This record gives sequence, structure tokens and C-alpha cells, in this order.
Amino acid sequence: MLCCQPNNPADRKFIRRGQIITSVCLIAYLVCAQIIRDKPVTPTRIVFAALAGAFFFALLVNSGTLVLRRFDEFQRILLTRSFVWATVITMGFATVWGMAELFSHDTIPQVSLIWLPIILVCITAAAKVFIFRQHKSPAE
Amino acid sequence: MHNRLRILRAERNWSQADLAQKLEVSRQSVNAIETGKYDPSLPLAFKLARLFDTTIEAIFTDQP
Repeated sequence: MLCCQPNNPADRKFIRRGQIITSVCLIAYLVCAQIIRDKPVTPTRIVFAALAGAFFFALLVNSGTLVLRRFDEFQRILLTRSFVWATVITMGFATVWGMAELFSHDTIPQVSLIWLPIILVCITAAAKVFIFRQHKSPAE
Repeated sequence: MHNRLRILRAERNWSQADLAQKLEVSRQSVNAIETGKYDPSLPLAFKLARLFDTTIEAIFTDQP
């Protein structure tokens, strides 16, 4: 999915599951954004919106499970490091931006909370590439 | 933590990839342990000791 090389069946299974979750999430999001956006608030609309959010949650849980189940303990540590850095950066960004927003009287554009998991996923992927490259083993 | 992994491996003419395969870990892990960047967990240390037919203390020391 976002941070693993598909070199064993367990990883491939997780990647496939992640792809399904991401697809369903994307469909739910598109339905929310394009089809029911301008219609009046109904339970269906709220359910679709919650569904989009719930699948992002599932995506994050799936990534966490991948890290915990990974057999190779060194790679597990590297993945955990990527997640920790991504969480720190995302939460830091959210706090700084949120406080600036709060006291700027609308001079700073509002960032919707829906961007936080997306930012988290992107930063995790970038951190993973950076951290794994740092610990790349030289050719024998 | 210091270790004699590279020496033990060389004595048996094993590559890092060979050792990684025997331990069921990545070559990246073997390299990280050998270079001292990572200290393995107890189960992996026991696995290494069994593989080299020795004790954990004979592989890992806290002094150079």
C-alpha cells in the first residue's frame, strides 16, 4: 500500500486490501463531492460522508496492522519510525495552522480536517522512502 | 553493542543474503546488525546463536 515492498504473500495481501479500501473510500468521497453535495441534508448524505471518513480510518488501521505484523523486526522499526515522524509532522502542522487560523480573523485560509489523513499518508510515504534510503544496505 | 557476526559469517563463507535467508529476515536487517546500527531482539539473537552453534555472549558483547 503506502509503505511496503510486495516481496512476500502477507505484504501482497495487505496491499490488495489497501487498494480495495482506497477504492471504496474514493468512490464514497466522489459520491459525497459530486452527487449529493448540493442537495439538502439527509441521513443518506450523512451516511455517505461518514463512509468516506470511515474508510480513511480503515486505511490507517490497515497500514498499522501491516507494521505490527511484519516479521522482519528491523523493517518493522523503520516503518514505525516513518509513522511516528509522519504523525509528529502532521499533528504539528495541524496545531500550528489551527492556532494561526483561530487568531487570524480569516486572513489565513481554512484547511478542512479531511486533509489531515491525506497529509498523514503522504508524509508517511515520503518518510518511509527517506528512512529506508538512509538504512539501505550496500551491495556485497 | 559489538558483535562478531561478520567474522562468524566469513568463517562459514556465507553472504549476507545467505544468512538473511537462514534467519528469515531481510539482508537489510543482517547488514544493520553487522554494522551495529541495530541490536536484534532476544528471539533473533537466540536464532543467531543456534545457527552458529554458539552462545549469545560469544556473538554479542557490550565492550569492543
